This record gives sequence, C-alpha cells and structure tokens, in this order.
Amino acid sequence: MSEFIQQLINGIALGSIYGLIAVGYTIVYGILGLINFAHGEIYMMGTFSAFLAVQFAKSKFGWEMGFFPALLIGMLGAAVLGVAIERIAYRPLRAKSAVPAVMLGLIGGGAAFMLLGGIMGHAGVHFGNPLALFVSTSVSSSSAVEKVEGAQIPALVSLAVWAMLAFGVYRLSKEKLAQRKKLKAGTLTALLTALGVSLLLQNLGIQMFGATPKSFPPLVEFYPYEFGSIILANQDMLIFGAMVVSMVVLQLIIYKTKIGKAMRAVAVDQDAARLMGVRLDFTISCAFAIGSSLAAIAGVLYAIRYTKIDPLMGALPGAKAFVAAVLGGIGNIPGAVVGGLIMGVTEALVVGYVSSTLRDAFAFGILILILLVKPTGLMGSNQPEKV
Amino acid sequence: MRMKSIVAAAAAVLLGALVCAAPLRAEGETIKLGAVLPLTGGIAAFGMESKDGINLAVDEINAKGGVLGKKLEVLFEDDKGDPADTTNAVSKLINTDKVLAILGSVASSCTLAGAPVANSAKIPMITHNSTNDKVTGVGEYVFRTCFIDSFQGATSAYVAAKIIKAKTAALVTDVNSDYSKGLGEAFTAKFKELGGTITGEVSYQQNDVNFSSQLTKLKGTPADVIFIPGYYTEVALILKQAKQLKIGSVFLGADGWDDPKLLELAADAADGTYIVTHYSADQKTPEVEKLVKAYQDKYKRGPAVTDALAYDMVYVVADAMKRAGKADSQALRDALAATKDLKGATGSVTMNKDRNADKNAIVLKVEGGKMKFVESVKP
Repeated sequence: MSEFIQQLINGIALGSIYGLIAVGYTIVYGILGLINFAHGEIYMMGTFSAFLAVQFAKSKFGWEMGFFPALLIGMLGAAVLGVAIERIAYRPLRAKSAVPAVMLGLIGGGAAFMLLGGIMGHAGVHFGNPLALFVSTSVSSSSAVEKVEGAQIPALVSLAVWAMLAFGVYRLSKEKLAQRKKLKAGTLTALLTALGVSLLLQNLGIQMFGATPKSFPPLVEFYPYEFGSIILANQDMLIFGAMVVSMVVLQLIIYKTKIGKAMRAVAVDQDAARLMGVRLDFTISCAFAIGSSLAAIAGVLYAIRYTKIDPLMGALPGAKAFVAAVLGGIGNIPGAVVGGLIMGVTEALVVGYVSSTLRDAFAFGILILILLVKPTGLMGSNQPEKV
Repeated sequence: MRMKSIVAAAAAVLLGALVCAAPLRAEGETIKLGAVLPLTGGIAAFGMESKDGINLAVDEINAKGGVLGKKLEVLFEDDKGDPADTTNAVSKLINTDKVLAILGSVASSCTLAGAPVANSAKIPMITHNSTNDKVTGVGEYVFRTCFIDSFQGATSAYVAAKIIKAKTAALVTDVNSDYSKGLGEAFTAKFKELGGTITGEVSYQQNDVNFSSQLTKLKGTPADVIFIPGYYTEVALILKQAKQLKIGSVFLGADGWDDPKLLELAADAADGTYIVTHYSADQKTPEVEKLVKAYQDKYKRGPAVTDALAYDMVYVVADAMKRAGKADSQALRDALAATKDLKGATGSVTMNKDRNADKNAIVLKVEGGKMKFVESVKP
C-alpha cells in the first residue's frame, strides 16, 4: 500500500510538470488552431535561461541567485522566445502572401543550421523530436538512425529532408492556388513550420550550450517529509503547488482581465473579434507569452528535481505533454492539467506495476486510443475539427 | 613569468621537432603499427586517452632501443566512434601503410566492424577497451587485452555475494544497451549459482532523468545489493534519487561507472558503492606506480582507466614481437596467442584460447568522494 501511495506521489509530481507544459499547447491551439511543436524547445530554452542566469550571477557578481529570481528569468526568457517565434515563424503564415514567407522561412531555417553545423565543424545534425525523427527516417534508411533519442544523421540527409519539406509545401501551396482557394494559414503549412522551428531550436541549443548534459544547481535543497515508509519530497510538493498556483492565476487572467476576455473572443471567432476592435496580433502574442512562461516554470522545477539538463531535454516531455493536452481535450485548459496528471500517474504505475520498458509505449498508446475513441478528449467541447 | 613560459614553449617546440624528426631519419628501420581510435566525436575522450597511453608506452620502448633492434612507429587513424569509419581506417592501414598489426578501437561496435577486415588480411588486431563478448569471435587474428562483459558481470556477482555478502540482489538495466543487458544476464546467472536470489529487475532508457518510479518499485522488495550495469551519467542520477528515497541497499556497478564525472554528479550519494573495473591508481604495484609517475611527468595528470589499458596493450604487443623474433604478422599472431603472465598496470595478461586476456578485475569502493582500491579478484 505504501508503495502504491509513493508511486502516486511520483506520478502526481511528474503529471504536474506535464500539465504545466500541456497548458501551453492548449492555449495556443485554442486561439490559433495551431499545434506549436516547438513548445518542448521553449521549455528547454526557458530552463537554460535560468541556468545561465544563475551561473552568470555567480561568476560575475558572486551572487548566489535564489529560486524566485531564477524562475522569473527563466519565464521571461521563454516568454520572449515564444513571442519571437510567433512573430517570426507563425505570423507571416497568417498574412495573405503566405507562400513566399513559408518558403523563405523553411529554406532560411534549414540553411541557418546547416551553416552553423558547418561552421562549428559538427558532421551531424540532430533530430531529437520524435515527430521530426519520423519525417527524417522516412527519407533516410533506418540503419542511419541508431536510436530514437540522440540519433545523429549526416548533414546531407538533413539537407534532403529540408529540401523535401520545402518542395512539399511548395507543391501544396501551388495546388491550392490552382484551386483558387483563399490562402489563409494552411494548417499543414503551420504544422510543418512548427516542426522546423523545433528542430532549429534543438540544434541551436546544441551549438550554444553543447550536447554534454549540465547539472542544474539545487536552488531548492531536497528535504524529505516521512510518513512511515512514504517519502514526500519538498521539491515534489513545490512542483504540485506551483502547478496549482499557476492554474489559479491563469484562470483569473482569462476570466477577470481584459486581455483574457480578448483571448476568449479570438478563440471563438478571429474575424468577429477583430471587427469588435480586439487587437488580434497582440492577443496572440500574449497567449504565446503565457504558455511559454508556464513551460519555463515546468522546466526550472523539473531541473531542480532531477538535476540533469541538456538541449534535447524538451523533446520527450514536450511530446508527452502534447498527448496530455489531446487527452484532456485540446483547447481546454483544465483538461490539459487533468490530462497531464493522468499521464504522469499512468507512467508511474506502468513502471511500478507493469514494466519499465513499456513506459513510453503506454504514453503514446494513450494518444492513439483517445484519437480513436474520443477525439475531442476527456473534457473537450464537441466543435468541428480544425486540423 | 611571461618570458619564462615563452622560453619553455620554444624549448618544447624544439624538443617536439627533434622527437618528430627521429622516426623520419629512421625511415625503413621502424616497425609500423596502426592505431584506429575515436579521436573526435562523442567518445573522443576515450580515444585521446588511448592515444596518450600508446604514445607513452612507445616512447618508453623506443628510448630503450625499440623492439628487435628497430624503433616502433604508430600511425593514428580517427574513426570518430563510427563503425563505418573503423572499417575504412583498418583497410587503409593494411593496404596503404602496410602495418604489422592494428591497435584499437575503443567502442565494441567499432572493433566489431573493423576486425573482419584485419582478420581476412591476416593482420593481427588488438583492442584494449572493447569488452563485448563477440569481438574476438570474429577470427583468430583478433585479440583483446582487457576482460569481457560476461566476466565482468560474473565478477560483479562474485563481489556481491562474497565481498558485500549479499543474499538478495536487484538489477537496474538500460533497456537499449547490449552492454547493460549482457552484464545483467551474466550477473544474474552467477549470482544464482552462488546461492543468491534475484528479487527484482527494473529498466530505464539512456537520457532518462526520472528514476523515482523504478526505485520505488525496488524499495518495495528490499535487496541487499542493487546492481546497475550502466554508464556514469544515468548512474549518478539513479544513486542520487535512491538516496532521496532512503533505499538502504548497497549499490554496485561495472566499468561504465569508472569516470571521475560519476563522483562529481552523484556527490555524497555515491559513498558506499562498489565498482568492478580494470584498474586502480591506488593499487600499490610497481607497474601502477611507474605508470602514474610517467603520466605526471609527461601529461601532468593521472592516468584514467583507458590510458592504463592502452599503455598495457602496447607492452603486450612489444612482448609478443620479441618472442616472435621477427617483424612478421603471422609470427606475431602466434606469439600474441601464447602471451603468458605479462605484468602491466591493469594486471597480468594471459591470453586464453578465445584470445581474450585472462586477468583480474579490480574492486573499488567509493569512500569520502574517492574511489578506493579494495582488492583484485578473479573468481
């Protein structure tokens, strides 16, 4: 029994992390109908912002930065990055002349990290994101991919992937043009762009921080509360508490402030909201900023709890949080939290009572199951499918 | 100070030029060996350590007049830790450079890729660091001067049963690693043979950071010993989280733990753990003391386990050459196979019929943030 309770505690702590990340997916989806696959990388970058700030403060000023300043800097870093990604990569897609922008974006992004790889003398380009890996494996032979996490694929193959992506997007847009349909934020185009951004950030992370894992400083010292043989870690309580507080604050923002009202309006109908004088771009930027800073909270807490950080740390939690968001009903904020908690607890129980080998298989099995049985998710409303 | 260092640098350059010039003058009178090592890439640290070890041993041998009246010359090739590059490098060394024998590589997957080329060309290939059981099975020209994974796993079981005196054991294995699974299987078989019981086995994947669920499961069925055949990055996190969950078992690992980074990452959570490995700088044998001193003089650092293994390998090859009496690949192969009781820093080497070194394993215990020598065992 005590083992079961301990597994529940482990699962709830992990689930709170997934929940916090999942909310970012869900907010952006609710407003834009876009699945921001770069969200896992925003989580990573936010964590690294906090990490670098702590190191910088210590080495330059001899200041042992505490938990809250580090958390705030992480949130700020992630929010700036999230808004910048939206501004640079996604907003042009909403404009009328989407095709050239997307082409430029993809080719530019590809060229940028090819160049970086070349300059830094790295022979391989990294594909850590499982979805990106799927894209790349469909091009390269499976033998080139050693394992799902940390596969090194020669630069030539990555160039081929980028070329094919760009070609695919070009063909799709051309067909659409031929059909004389209005070109407005093609969902597939946006999805591919998001994947590209995700890859770009992972590789940038490797160039900037190095692929070697770093040890995150223990900003909150581990302290166990013992109840018989059950151990409740202060860090786990902090994670759960931070999740609850964030959710309360988020609900207040959404239902009690003007910007929250604007966000809800945009989520219902973009055009109507714009006609009523809602500043569309600003509202969307705010959604990205909020989602990104929540991801940074998750990242910093996770790093404090589990110590190790590296530029690919966002790939798997990002993918699992996406499943959590779908599970709870994408677009629904309480749903994302519930989905995250279910994912976390399932993972802990599968490892504890079934088999640790099947952990990830269960996590992604949930995604397939929910899409087959109840595509709107546990708490999702029954709207017509946007994707 | 500045002036001094410039003078020192100039002296070093001059000295280096002289050393480099020496083999050039002796062209045609050297015995050429090839070395294939990961000098760049993800496991470059092991490649560079190997290179230092090889260079030191070759310099020492040449300073004493070389082998068979000739100086040794080693041609280094970089395989980046990539098996395809190992195959190419081995072909080049054999066909273009006409080497007598090949040293390396480090990763078992690389050596397994290069060895068939050397074997079919009847050129001996000797590895110092590839522990996978299959490596020397490639053919009778492939040797290794370290122990193998199944020995390592069995020795770990012996340590658990006889030194830690455990009755029960649990395992934490990396599900994607042949190394981890191989060690786990050998451990399980030997531990049962010694009368112990395996109470549980959990697994993880490389790059995992959260092991709390696995460890909670193990806590439910307490074992005297928990054996973790993995690499130091994950092991450090596992040890930390096990301490947080107040798991009272003794932790035990193999040569994947043997890196200073383990102590850095795990800090006091590593205290009280046991490690089965190839070498200890604390072991007070004349060979170890000589190696440590030579490293301090030449490289200003202590030799790590890969340094010591590479250093010893060169002496095994030189010894076989002397016994062969001529610089001939076939004669060298036969002499290598007959290597017996050759003392080195990583223990004494005797080639068994599978062309693997029969040597002792070193047991270390972590105490006060240091890996301390416990004993040298061969069950």
